[in-house]
Amino acid sequence: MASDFGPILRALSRNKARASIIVLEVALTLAIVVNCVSLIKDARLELAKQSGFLDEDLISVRVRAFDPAFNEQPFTDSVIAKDVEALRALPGVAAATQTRFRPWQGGGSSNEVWIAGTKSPTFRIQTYAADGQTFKSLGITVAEGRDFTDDEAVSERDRVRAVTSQNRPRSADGRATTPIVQEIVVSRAFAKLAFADGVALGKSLEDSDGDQYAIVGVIDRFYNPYAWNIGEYVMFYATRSTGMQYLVRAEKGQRETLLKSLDKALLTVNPGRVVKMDTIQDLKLKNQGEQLFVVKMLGGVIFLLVFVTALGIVGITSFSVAERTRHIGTRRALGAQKTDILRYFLTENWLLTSFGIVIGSGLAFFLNAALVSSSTASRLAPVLLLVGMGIMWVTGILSALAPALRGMRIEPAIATRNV
Amino acid sequence: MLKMTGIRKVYRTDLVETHALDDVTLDVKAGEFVAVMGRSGSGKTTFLNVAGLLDTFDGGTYTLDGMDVSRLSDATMSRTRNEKIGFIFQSFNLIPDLDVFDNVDLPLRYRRMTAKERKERILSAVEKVGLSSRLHHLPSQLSGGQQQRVAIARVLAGDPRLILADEPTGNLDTLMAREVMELLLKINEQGATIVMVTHTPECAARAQRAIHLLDGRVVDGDSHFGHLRSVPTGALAAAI
Amino acid sequence: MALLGYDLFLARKSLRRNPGLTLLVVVGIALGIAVSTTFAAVRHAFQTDPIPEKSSMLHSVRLDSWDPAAPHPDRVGVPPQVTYRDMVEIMKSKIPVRQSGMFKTNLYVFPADKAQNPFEEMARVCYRDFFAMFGAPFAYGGTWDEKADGGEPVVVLSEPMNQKLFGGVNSVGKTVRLRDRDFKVVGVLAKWMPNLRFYDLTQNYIGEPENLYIPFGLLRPMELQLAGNNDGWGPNTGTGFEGYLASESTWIQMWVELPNAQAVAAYKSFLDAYATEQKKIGRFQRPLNNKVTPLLEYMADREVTPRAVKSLFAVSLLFLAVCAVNLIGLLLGKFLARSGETSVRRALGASRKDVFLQHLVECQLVSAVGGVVGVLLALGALSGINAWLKSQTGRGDLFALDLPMLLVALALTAGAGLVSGLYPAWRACQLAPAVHLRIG
Repeated sequence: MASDFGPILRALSRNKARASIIVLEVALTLAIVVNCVSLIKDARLELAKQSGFLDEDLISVRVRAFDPAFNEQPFTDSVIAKDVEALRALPGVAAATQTRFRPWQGGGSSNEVWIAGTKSPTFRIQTYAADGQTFKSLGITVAEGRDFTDDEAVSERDRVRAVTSQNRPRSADGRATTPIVQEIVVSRAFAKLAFADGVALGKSLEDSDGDQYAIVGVIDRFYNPYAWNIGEYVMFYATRSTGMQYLVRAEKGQRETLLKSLDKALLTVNPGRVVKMDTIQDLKLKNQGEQLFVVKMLGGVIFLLVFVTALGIVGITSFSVAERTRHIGTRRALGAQKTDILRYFLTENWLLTSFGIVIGSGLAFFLNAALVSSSTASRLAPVLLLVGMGIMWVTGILSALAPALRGMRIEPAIATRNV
Repeated sequence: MLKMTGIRKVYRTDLVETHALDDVTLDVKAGEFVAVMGRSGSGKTTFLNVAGLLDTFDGGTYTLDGMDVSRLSDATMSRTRNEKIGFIFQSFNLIPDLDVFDNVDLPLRYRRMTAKERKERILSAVEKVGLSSRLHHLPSQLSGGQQQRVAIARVLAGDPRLILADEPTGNLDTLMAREVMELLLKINEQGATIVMVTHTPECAARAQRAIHLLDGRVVDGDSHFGHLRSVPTGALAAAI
Repeated sequence: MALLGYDLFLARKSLRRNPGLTLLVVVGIALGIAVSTTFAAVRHAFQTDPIPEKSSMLHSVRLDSWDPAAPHPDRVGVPPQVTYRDMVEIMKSKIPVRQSGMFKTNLYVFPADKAQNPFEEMARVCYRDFFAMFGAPFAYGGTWDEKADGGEPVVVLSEPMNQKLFGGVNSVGKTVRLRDRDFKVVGVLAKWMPNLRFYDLTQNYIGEPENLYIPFGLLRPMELQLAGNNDGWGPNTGTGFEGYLASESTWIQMWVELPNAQAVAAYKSFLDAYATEQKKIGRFQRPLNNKVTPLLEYMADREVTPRAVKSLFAVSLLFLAVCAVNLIGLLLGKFLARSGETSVRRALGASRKDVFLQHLVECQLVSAVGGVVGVLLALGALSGINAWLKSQTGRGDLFALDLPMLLVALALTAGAGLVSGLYPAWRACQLAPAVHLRIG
């Protein structure tokens, strides 16, 4: 009842200390909670990022050889070929390839490139070797242009090896006079970054060796966290890379079974090695560890904060009811109904909570501004503030309810008791 | 106005049973000023609680202003207190956080009156007790006598049928006590029924008759001081 | 002071009178202490000086050999590591008391006991000064000699590795096979577990120190493969491993020990002279920007404390502030609710000061109980966080309530009790002796 506000407000104004503590507590809690939720939202946005691949079916396999025979590259090459064959032959394997690329590893290899014929701007871009099975193994198809073939990968490898096996003649600016031209597939995000019209197909990139990269394909989505904010930019070039590192895509639901049979299949090819397997989901989990930690911790802090504030309101209201026992008795003696007393305390609490919410909203934006300027936090969404306000109102009412009910049960006969 | 027949009130603990009121029968006519006397522990406060509908009782019947109030719900009791009874307490029972105006406003608030009507009543009641200049003072800024006059104004504003006073001068010095008694007498002369609990014979002597309580019983009947005057009740505020 | 015992007695009585509300007060402050202590300890693990006796002497060396077209993408614009060719040249300086370039590599270990399977292990490739520089203590033997730096197959084992390979006995002089050759054990470290791998902050620095240490000179003969970050630019002018060593790839962490400011200044001008010399052959085309940074400053530079940890610590302080405000409210409510009793005390002759102290003692008692409960809660929380960290990094003992952290908890507790108690106690002692007797 609006008409009740007057005397309640006037009474509160003469009890400033206690009133301002509830106001302050609610305000601080609202400001902190809303900003924590905003930080959680940011972290969740990061956590919701997709690699663009069928992560849950992927297994990364890394093999290390201790047999000295592997010191000879042709021998290693032949084992790699046999490994890939053995992997593809395994029941439950949808696709497998040799690659150094591991989604969600949080790093990899990158290069500095620019659009051929210009020298700036330069773009840092992740680079990985790929063959005819790479995209199939990742579970995607090339959206524009063409995929690579295995033959192409092998012949490219041999060609590049031949060129780089000796010192290349160079011009004064350090560029090789015999540039290698390779065909590449880039991510859509890179195409948009590098080319004003977003059309990458048919265009060429260049690096500091003077080597050229002709774009023959575009994949729609790619994300692999990397320092320097280049997670969405990638080029795959056709080559069989060195190193016994494989990416296996299991058929749906076969991943766990495969984890048991993969290493045996590889050790059958050559036993002089140790096999390490990681599911891409595990890599993702580790990569996102810090974000997950933040989400959990902030969630806990929010919960405890609201809990402590609720405790505070319960306590302060309880003491205030105890202190005003005689006043309540008098009010009852003068004809107040039980519900009048209940409403009195709830209204008082609602007013204090509301003041706190008004001040807290300002404080929330203030705190958010500090966060935005000092870190990567994003702007506070007004809808979050509304949710926070709702939480504080409900918390306030629920916390005041028990003490208010106790106040309601105070006997009117208290009024005639003399001290 | 107030008619009690065979009222009993028993307090029970695990060990003892105390008869705070034992077969109290009493009839107070409209316009009377009755003093209820007794030593401490005689049941005065229990009598007051029962008479003022602040507490329930265990036996007997109680009729207030022609209405049987023996077994009422808490809500009806509250409403009856609010509309028919005015209280004056020994320790004034003003709400310290509220100023004179808001304190006098208190019973009216629970009567759901319009703001205009409340204001009229408050101003007129405060004027009658001579505190118009202190309208926005807090109780702590007033003397004891002034505080009790605010409490009386609170009663006047409510225009009750019955005024219950509990040692109204108990916390006041002689001069202030006399002022308050004069005010009560004036109110009574203008038609209000007053029942005053007190243990001082000087105060009781100002009433028309006194009832003595001892161990929860009424003893030695009524003592009459002076003669009955029949004055029409109601319209108290207008009359003064 | 004579009243302190009586004040404590009163405080205890007051807390027992209403156990429910007392619990509320204690839980409120305990949660504040628990949360702030927990995140203070987490932050502390990243900010502790790992080697207080000489952190001011240890300097990280960074050279701006980067691409003239654009600065290095790191925050400070200088590559955090140096190229092989630069390391070789600057290691020739006589100014540092000790110095070492280093990197890590994966090696296969073939235990002498044939029953044990070969296993892969991370090894640190460094110079002989490494151990004395970074305070790694020896249980047996010591570092290798200067000649071995040139590439002799000798190895220093960590304590756990010596346990694993030789059952913990003095293994100096024994051999262990790493990849394709036999290494002679010259030293075994005693237990060494700095908070962070502070000597290599380029990646995964939360973790235990490596278990194998071998001389840098083995890089060429064994063609050791890098197992760390490598930032490069520019054309690959050579071929094969030698081409890699000659390139502008930066992958070596470079540390020098400089005992005083003169040495630092001298070393700095040595680096600048070197860079100026290199400019003549077309390298170092960026403005001179070589950095010789003391350890603690370098840790801040590398943002060793994760941002999340910093924000959580800030949030936890705000949380404590709310708990303190909460405590003020509860104590104020409590003290005012029993103002009658206090007035009686005042009437019976307690002075303002007596009443003030009595209430302050009660505040301190509440916060002390809250502090104890809070520290216990913090211990629980930290062990939970440690378990989580172990699943992430294999290191499960990073966060602990050591003495400094317990002192922090104590200070927070006493501070919260004092700050929250002052106002309510002051209000209580302002109560007049008489007024409350009359009004009731």
